[in-house]
Amino acid sequence: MKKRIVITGLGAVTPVGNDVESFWQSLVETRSGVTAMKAETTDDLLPVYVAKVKDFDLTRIGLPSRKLKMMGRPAQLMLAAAAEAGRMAGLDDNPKESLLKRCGIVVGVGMYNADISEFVRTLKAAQNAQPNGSAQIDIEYFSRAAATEMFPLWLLRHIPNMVAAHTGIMMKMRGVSNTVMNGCASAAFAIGESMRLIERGEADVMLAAGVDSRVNSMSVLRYLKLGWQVEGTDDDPATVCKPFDQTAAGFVSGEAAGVLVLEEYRHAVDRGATIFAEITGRGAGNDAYDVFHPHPQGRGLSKAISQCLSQNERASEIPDVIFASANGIPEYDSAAAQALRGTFNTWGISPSVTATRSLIGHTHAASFALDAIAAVKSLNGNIVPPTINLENPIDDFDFVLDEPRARPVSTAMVNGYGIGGHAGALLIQG
Amino acid sequence: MRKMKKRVAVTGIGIISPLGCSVETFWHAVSNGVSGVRSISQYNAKGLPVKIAAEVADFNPNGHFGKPYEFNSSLSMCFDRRTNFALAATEQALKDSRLSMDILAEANVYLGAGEGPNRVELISMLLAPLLAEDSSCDEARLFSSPVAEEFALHDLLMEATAPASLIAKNYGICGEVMTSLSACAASSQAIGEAMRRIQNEECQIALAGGTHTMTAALDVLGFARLSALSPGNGDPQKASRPFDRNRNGFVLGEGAGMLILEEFEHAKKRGAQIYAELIGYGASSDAYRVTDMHPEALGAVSAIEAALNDASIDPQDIGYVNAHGTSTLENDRSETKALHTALGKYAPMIPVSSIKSMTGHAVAAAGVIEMIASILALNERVLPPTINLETPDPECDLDYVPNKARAANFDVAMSNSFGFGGQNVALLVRKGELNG
Repeated sequence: MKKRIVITGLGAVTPVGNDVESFWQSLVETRSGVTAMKAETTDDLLPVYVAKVKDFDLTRIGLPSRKLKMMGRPAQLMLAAAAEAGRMAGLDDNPKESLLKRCGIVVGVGMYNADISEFVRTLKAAQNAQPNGSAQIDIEYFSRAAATEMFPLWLLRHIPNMVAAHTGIMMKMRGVSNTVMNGCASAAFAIGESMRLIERGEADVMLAAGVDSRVNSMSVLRYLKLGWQVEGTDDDPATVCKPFDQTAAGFVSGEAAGVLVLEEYRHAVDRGATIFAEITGRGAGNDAYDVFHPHPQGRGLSKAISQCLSQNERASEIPDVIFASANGIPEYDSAAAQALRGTFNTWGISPSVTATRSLIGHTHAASFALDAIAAVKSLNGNIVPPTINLENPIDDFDFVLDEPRARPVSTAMVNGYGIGGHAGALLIQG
Repeated sequence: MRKMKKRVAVTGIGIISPLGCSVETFWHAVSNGVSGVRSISQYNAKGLPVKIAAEVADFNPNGHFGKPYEFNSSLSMCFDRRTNFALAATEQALKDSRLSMDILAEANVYLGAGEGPNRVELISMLLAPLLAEDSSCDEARLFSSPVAEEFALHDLLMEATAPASLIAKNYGICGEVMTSLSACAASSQAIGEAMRRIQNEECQIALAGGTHTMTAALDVLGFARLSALSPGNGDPQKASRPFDRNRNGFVLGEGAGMLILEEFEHAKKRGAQIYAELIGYGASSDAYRVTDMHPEALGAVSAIEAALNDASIDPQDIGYVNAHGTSTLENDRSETKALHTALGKYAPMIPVSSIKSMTGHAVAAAGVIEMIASILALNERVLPPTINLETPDPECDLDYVPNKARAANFDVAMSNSFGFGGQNVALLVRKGELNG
């Protein structure tokens, strides 16, 4: 008998709310998390919009500042979300050593760009030290300046597995720890890895998470120059991100952490945990195409979705709603729409479709985890959060437009798809 | 009734290392105690607190590896060393396996990797406009920097996913393609997870390995500031000295390794050479400190015990341990303790060696490079030595195969990888039947 895997805890720190409840309330009350990158603007630059976590209170993590200082922003966001998920799952109240040994962590992460101020300080020091005062920085002088100007533990903020390491230490979890990176579908793979560890009997409880922070100027520069991020504009910030719209002009780069506590069904029942939902299918695929442009038909996503649907042992229950991967990059939205269209035709279904990134912004490696959390809330409340800014859809799916829709939801599918051609799909049932 | 797990064969090997860019050159060096550590030659390292590394010396990306990636009509750039290492190791391994390429569509890829190297000169050009005294409105200046586009593509190609995605593209692999970033344990974890996918019939073929380069200026600086590196004063080749009393840190390295893993019967049916069989995988985490191993090595012990249990073998069945052996004061002491605890009275009888004494520490690629050394040791019946072991450390009291390779006929090797941050992986590998 294959082991059943249930969700017994959730945690979120997002641009629309710093815990699961406020995150969900913002989605169903159609509140956007998009704001200007900088409070004040000048004539030189139209405001660039990002989806930042606001009013994030570090004391919530309850760690001394010397510990927080060696963590990058992703680790800090993750710790707050993990603490919430642990509380919700009842893992915070003096858990037994035997349980902690069988609790593991898999985090889907992104790349955390450096804060430019540290580099600018180092470069200035190097420039001052250079004999000819040349504008061209010599690496030898840069290296010497860095030894005094850069924060000594600077590397620790950027090593990707530090997010999982800090979480393991805080939660005292000693099971398997892994850190995966699969572009915008990273959290899908983190969930898949976590499920496998439970299915194989190597863990009883897993924290499956996605976390990313790409709102500083280096990250935003990257996406602006690649043409993936909405250009500076003085339009209303809430209106600029338009997944699935014919006039979409890119995503709004964001940051977030989302955590799901996954648990073997019997284990959850035996310890009296609250079960929020069950995961009944998963799929993964790769485009095997140009690494930073999607396959036009969304080949990787098609494969992930069909694997996910055919894995579902309760096959009679087709998805009522799809939490789509669309984020506002026209070529990726189009590929995702092609994959969905193909799926709907093959299976003869027409589920509701929603793209939460229109409200949340694109939280990259965290995005799939946030959609999985939204899917659980959707199943529990029989309500589907809306997609905004969708006036001219690129396909005629049953989009949930502008207002949340009350409807029975017994099965939800979450999609992840993006750079690297990585795709993941998950089926969640109430 | 529990379903029988499928067996997992290793049928192809590819390697790019500081000791050579083919299996033959690598094995020749590693079995002759040759050090790959030198003064850094890729860039001017004079201003760094540490000026040595184990660099891949004779690597020339040729053919399609050397061609720039065209993001769009106006923006293109070559892939970085780490990505090219991975592509070259994959090509070698696939050729070695003699698999037909059309079978790869359903294969899986599981790679341990890290992010690509930062280009300091590009960062300094990008930020040059911000160095003026009046640098108000930073973003406006930054976004209009003349190298902004170039930086954007460089930053994208640096993503840890780039090597695995490119492997998938080159060989038409539409199955699951994963990248693990569990630092020094990453490629061992990748091998273990890929092995499980074949055991559980998720796929029949998996490409598993790792790639990394951490010899760039910012990496050397970062680790030097954590006091993790050997300053390497004097002879660079003596700097990496695992288990020696005078060890004082590790030496950064780089490289890539790739294994073709194949369901055993599938390999047998097509008459493939079977180098070895993966029989055990165990993983754990310390949950202790991000920069230090647990003093009692609890995490390492549970990983080793889990691997033994997974393979259903006893400590005395192990003929050789390829140690994590980084040459830091702490790792080598804790690892010795872990081996004592996990292997009990058999620990003193089992030879242990660290090839990091020769290869340096290739971080995310270290695990696969060491697994390759272990597989070659099984087949060649020779244990690679721990070089520079001149002064014994009373706290490191095992048989470390000091300084000279040793002939040994054995059946099972264990390879340990303990990641910075506290992830521990142990892998067990048995000599291939068809080579037996």
